[in-house]
Parts: sequence; C-alpha cells; structure tokens
Amino acid sequence: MVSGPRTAESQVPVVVTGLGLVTSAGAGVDSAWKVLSEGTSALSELTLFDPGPYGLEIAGESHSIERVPGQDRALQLLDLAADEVLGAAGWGDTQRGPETGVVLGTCQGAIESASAIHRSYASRPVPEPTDADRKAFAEYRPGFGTTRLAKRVGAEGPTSTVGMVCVSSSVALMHAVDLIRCGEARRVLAGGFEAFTQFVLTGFHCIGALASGPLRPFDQNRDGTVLAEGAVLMTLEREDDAIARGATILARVIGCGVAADAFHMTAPDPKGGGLERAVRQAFAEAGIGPADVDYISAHGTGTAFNDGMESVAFARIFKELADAGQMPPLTGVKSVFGHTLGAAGALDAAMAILAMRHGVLTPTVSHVAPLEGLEDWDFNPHQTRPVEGMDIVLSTNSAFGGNNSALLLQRAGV
Amino acid sequence: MSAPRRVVITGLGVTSPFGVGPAALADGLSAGRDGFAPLEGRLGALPPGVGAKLDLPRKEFKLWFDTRVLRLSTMTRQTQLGCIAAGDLLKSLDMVPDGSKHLDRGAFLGSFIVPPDFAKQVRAIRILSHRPEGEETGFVLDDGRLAEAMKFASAFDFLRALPNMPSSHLSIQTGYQGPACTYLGSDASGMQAIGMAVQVIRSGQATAMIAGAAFSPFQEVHLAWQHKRGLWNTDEGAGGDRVRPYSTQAGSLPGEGGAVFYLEEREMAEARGATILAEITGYGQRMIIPDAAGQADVRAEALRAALPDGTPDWVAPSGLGRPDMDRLDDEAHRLAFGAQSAPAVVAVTPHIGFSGPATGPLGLAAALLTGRGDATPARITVDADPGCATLAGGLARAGRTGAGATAVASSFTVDGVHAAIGVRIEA
Repeated sequence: MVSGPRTAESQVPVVVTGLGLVTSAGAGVDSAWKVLSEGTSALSELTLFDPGPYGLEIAGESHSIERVPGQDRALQLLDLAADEVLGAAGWGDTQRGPETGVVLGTCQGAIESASAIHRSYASRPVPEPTDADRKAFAEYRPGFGTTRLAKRVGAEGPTSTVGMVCVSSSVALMHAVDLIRCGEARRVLAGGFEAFTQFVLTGFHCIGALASGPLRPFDQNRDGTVLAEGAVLMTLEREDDAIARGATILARVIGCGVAADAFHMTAPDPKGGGLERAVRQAFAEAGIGPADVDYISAHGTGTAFNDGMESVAFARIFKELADAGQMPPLTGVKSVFGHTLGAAGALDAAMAILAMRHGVLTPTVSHVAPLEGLEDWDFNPHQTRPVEGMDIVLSTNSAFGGNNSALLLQRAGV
Repeated sequence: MSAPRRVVITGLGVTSPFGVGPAALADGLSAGRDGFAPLEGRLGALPPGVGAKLDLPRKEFKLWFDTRVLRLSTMTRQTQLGCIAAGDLLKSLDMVPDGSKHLDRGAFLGSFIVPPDFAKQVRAIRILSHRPEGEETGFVLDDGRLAEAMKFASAFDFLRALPNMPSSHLSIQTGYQGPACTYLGSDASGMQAIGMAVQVIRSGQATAMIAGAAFSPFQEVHLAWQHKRGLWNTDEGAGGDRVRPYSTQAGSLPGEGGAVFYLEEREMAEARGATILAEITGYGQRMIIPDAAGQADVRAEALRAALPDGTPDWVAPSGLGRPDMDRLDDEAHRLAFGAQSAPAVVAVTPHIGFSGPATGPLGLAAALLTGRGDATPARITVDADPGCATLAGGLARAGRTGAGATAVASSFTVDGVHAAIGVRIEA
C-alpha cells in the first residue's frame, strides 16, 4: 500500500493570502520578482566574510540587512519577511488567538547566536554561566524564531518548527495546510528562514557540494550548488474565511505529498522513487494528473546527485507527455537566488505563485546545455515569456536523508 | 461524512537511564529508583553537576538493525537514542527490519540538535569567533583564522548532524517510505511529533507511524542554557541530587532518553491481530503569549483536547520543577478536569530527569505502562508547594488501572509551546 492522499472530508480548501520575503535579491516580493522576471541573477560577490578558502566566486547573500554585532542574521531576515507578509495579508488583531498557528522550517535557525556562545565553553576551566550572553542563550534553540514570531502575531494555536533541511519550509507549508484542514487552526503563518553563515558554508564545502561558479540546474556543466540566505513567509487560511474578510487570494493549495527514500543518509534514491511517490500523492490528493500541470518548479540544486535523481523521477512521471512532446516546462529558481536551504521550498512556491499571477514562465538562468537525454525538455534558459493558461504549478523539493515534498498550487480564480 | 479513523498504540520503545526497553523503565519506576549520578569532566564543572545518563548498548545495536547499512557512529547521540528505542520497539513487535520497504508507514521524531553533534564544526567556529577586546558581550568572526578553522571541519560530522537526521535515519533503518519529519525547537516537539503522526494516520496519509522523541542534554552550552532558564536544581545540600516537582524544592536535573510509539489505524491493527495497548483519545497543542491573561486557560484547552470526555485516571505532567511553571501546570489541570478531580500523577523527572523534547513521550510511556498495570511507580510524598496541591497530592495517589483507564501526558514548556496527548487503556 502506498501512503495515500488525505481523505475527502479533510479537504477544506486552503488558500495563500499573503507573501513576505527577503532573498539575495533584496527585501520584498517586488525585489525578488524583478530579478527573477528579468532573468538576471541575484547571486553576487560574498561580502560577509572572506570567500577565498572556500573557492567561491558568488553567493546568495542578502545585502538588505546590515551585519549588526549581537543581532542574529537569521532572525533579522525573518523579521523583515514578517513585516511584509503581515501587512500584505492584512492580518491584525482579528487574527490573534487560538485559531492562529505558526509553522516554520529551518535548517539551522539562529545559528549565529548559537555558534557565538560556543566559544565561551571552549575555555578552561569551564566558566560559570553568566548573564552576559543572555540574548545569545535565549536565541540558542532552533525554534526560537518560530515562537518569537508566534508571540508577535498573537498566535495561540499550534506552533512548531520543522527541521528537514532542504524540504523544511515546503513541509512547513504542508503542515500548515494539514492543521487547517483537520481543524487545529483556521489560519497559519508558515514558511522558512535561513541565514548565510560560515557554519553551514563550511559543512557544504566539506561535502564538496559547492559550485565553483553559477548554479546551473539540469545543465551538463553543473558542478554544485550556491548557498544563499533568505526568509519566506506565507499566510494560509481557509478559503471561506479569506473570502469572508475580503482578502486577496493569491493561490489555492490543492495537493501535498511527502515521501521518504529510505535509501541513504547522503545520497538520494538514484531512481527518484521517493520524489515520484510524493508527486503522485499530491496528484491523488488534488484529483488531477500529470497532464494538468502547466509548469514544474523543480528543486534544481545544480548538484550531480539531485538533478540526476529529479530528472529520472520527472521522466517517469511525465513520460507519456514527454513522449508526445507535451512535457510541461521545468525551471529552477535557485539559479537566480541560490539555495536557501530551510527557506528553499517556500521560496520556490512563492515564485511559482507569482509566475501564475503574472501568467509568465520565469527562466532558469545560467542554464546552457541540458543533461543528456533531456534535450527536448523546456528549461526556459533565457528569459521570461508569457504563457497562456498557467493555472497549476508543481513545486518539488528534496533533502539529504532522502526526504521529498511535492506541492500543487492553483492560480486564484480558476 | 464518515467517522474519523481511530488511532491506537500497538507498541512502545524506550531508551532511558534505566536501560533499553519499556520493562527497564517500568522496573525503575516501580522500584522508586533514580538514575542520577555526578557528571564527570567538563560537564561536571557546570550546574547542576548531576545527571542521568544511559550507557548505550553499542554492541547490541546489531540486534535491531543491519549494521552493514548503518552504524551507530553515523549518528548523533539523539539519533542513536531514537533508533535504538525504535529498534527495540520493532523487535518486540516481531518487525525487525529485513530490508523491506513500507510505503504506507512513516516516522516523526521530536529532537533538538545540540553542539556536540557538530563537534568538529563547533571547534572550527570556536577558532573563528572571539569576543571584541574590552567588550563584555558579543562575538565577532575573525576571517584571518579561517584557514586554521577549516582544518577541523568534517563533511561527515556536518551531515550526520543535520536536523532531519533523527527521523531520516529511522526511515532508512526501517525502510519506511511514508512521511518522515523531525520537529525541533521546543521541549514540546516530541509530543507534537506524536500528535502530528496521529493526524497523518487519521487523514489517511499513512496506516502506521513510529513517533516520539529522543534527546540528550549532556553538552556544556545546553546545560548552561537551561541553567540560565532556571531549570536546574542547584541545591548544594542533601536535596541537590534529586528532583521533586510541585514541591517546595525547586529545580530539575538533566537526563537523556527516548520514547517512541507504534501508532496505527485501529482497523489495520485489529486485522493483523495486534495487541492494542491503548487508543489515542485526543491531541491538543497551544502557544502561550507571555504576560497575556489566561495562561492557565490556554494550557487547559490543550489538556481538554487530549481527553475531551471525562477526567483522567493518570496524568503525566511536565514536572519541570520550576515553581512558576509547576503552578501554572497545576492550575491548568484543575481548570481542565475540575477542581475536584484528583488524578494520580506519574512523573518521570524524579527518576530520569528532564530530557527536553523526550520528556513528554517518556511521560506518556510511563503513564501507558502504569495504566496497563505493567508498572507500579513508587508513590512520592512531597512537601507540596501551596500552588501545586493537586499535582503534588497526585504524586502520592494511585489511580485506576486496566481496560478503560485513561491517561493524559503533557509538555508545558518555558518557551510557551504546549502539547498534550490522551490515551484510553485497552485490555
């Protein structure tokens, strides 16, 4: 038996009514959309620290926030995104209370605060804990950002933090949808956040996953990923509530799927079995099939393993369409913003929503030569182009440890 | 609309300072023992200087898992504690992983990444960061030390400590290919993992889930952090090596462990002839806004959601030992179940200490064992904090056991995140 779609009685329509984000393109939805839709890259020279030892040319640093000693970078990003989404969604006092939840995904949370206090405990003799680092202690746990945000919005409902690396925020969005569908909450502020730190960069450098140049999803010359930072938040709520309060509905979440490879802690299932199951689960939940998908927003990290696995999975899922020359276009927004880890899934979904609203297909920048066998696939490598009837987007993500997610989003008004 | 799927517990796996397995926990509780001992080395130099650790059965790991696939050395301490608990659980169900894949089963764990999991990374960061001269607070990173720091960074160290590894390892070890998720961030995340696993089954996304939590607090920064939150017992007198929540003696002690439950749809369990230990009666989770009015009311809502009908025979409350939290806990239980209700209390912290996100699931495990009559925890008489009379009195009371008995376990955290799960014992 395959893990199944949610039952019909739990299918309360859930919609997205607000977006707020900070990316390597700057603060705000408009900044990100401008860079993406113009087909340029938000990746730039790293200024946070010396990139020399890592051999980096570019990175996805957000220049919208200043480095302030004593302020955790991840929390700064989260605050900026929260400012935007709460204003955009029109959430205020009415949304406070036990029917509102907060679910965030992150890989390392406020890691700057955490890593800073380690040094205190490297000295000998071990120091008696003092009040001097009170703030860093407070921010030490990975869920601090979530509970702080919950307190800010007055959310007294379910509050949790998902730590699933690259699928953290897509799983957080799905978790939010589940909470609304099962009646645990009427609305949830959800998304993810991740800061650019040497802590994480060093880890990716060690595993040899960093690109020497641009991030080139599904390209023959891809040689790794480009790390980035960001925070992406969405307000999700019951569709009837959104309509009743006159909210602008940006998109409807029509299908969610998660599946584990159960294969290896570092390598994905090379056959893409987990990703395929996640996608098919989302299809089953939405009651649609591959032919209904107008656009695929792939994880597209630019690493050999990930892109290879994704290609195999998509080739199988969309085989009939590909054979008929009707494979939906597939792009990777990480080529523009870099890989934001804990924020990646929500960023991919946010950009997919904007693409639907604008009726355009955004490009996979830096993509030159498709992987062997995928020459007929449409990666839209050059520039944004208008598309008729872009109503349903499939957004997928995968993570170390073999976790996969698939989110089906439908354009509002369809 | 059809009735929602009913979810039952058909298996329990435990790692605790008393050893591996529910029986070890039951024996320790029934004998009134505790697992506390002085901490050694650098840990011993920090408050509270005492803790309850488990001597991990490394050699026996192959009893539960195929060590050709994965070894204990590939896991952090939390992942080890969780996987061993799950391995013992599956062995008890005669479901030892055999390489088969299970598309309809998943794994949710609550955990918390702590710095020893990043030992080499942390060493690198320690080299990189320093406090500005003349400053009493704050740190800066020194790029000039990067080359030296990089010598200590390790790819493997980084990967094994990624936050999703507790649940990912479990799915890899068991071959479970359904939903897998690690919940982080609060001491209630273990209960959240169980609650969300119940929801996953109810909504039809999986037919069975392993869910619970595993955690080890034994690291300098973590001990120091909890100390600054006022969690540890720093009594230098005779009471310094014990935990007595709801009493006039404040403070807890650190402990490590894990508890995982095999949850499945009742219909499936009955069809395969499984022994049903208990049925889940409900799950509630709430967030408390600091300084807001009605904090106990919000906590009470979570408790009522866990057991919507009736009053519990047993409660397994947080037992933090921090007076302000204990008093709110007591008030919430009175509000939820009535001032006249007198539930018996099963508290694990006096025996095995406070193990962060694993405390709630370990409490649920203890309540389950007690409700079924598999454990008879020694009753504890404490000098009650006047604001905690209900729960303090419950420590000395015994409750109903056997089929139909009910229990509610909860994690009420300093962070403001609160979760509760209720069960009804089966024959």
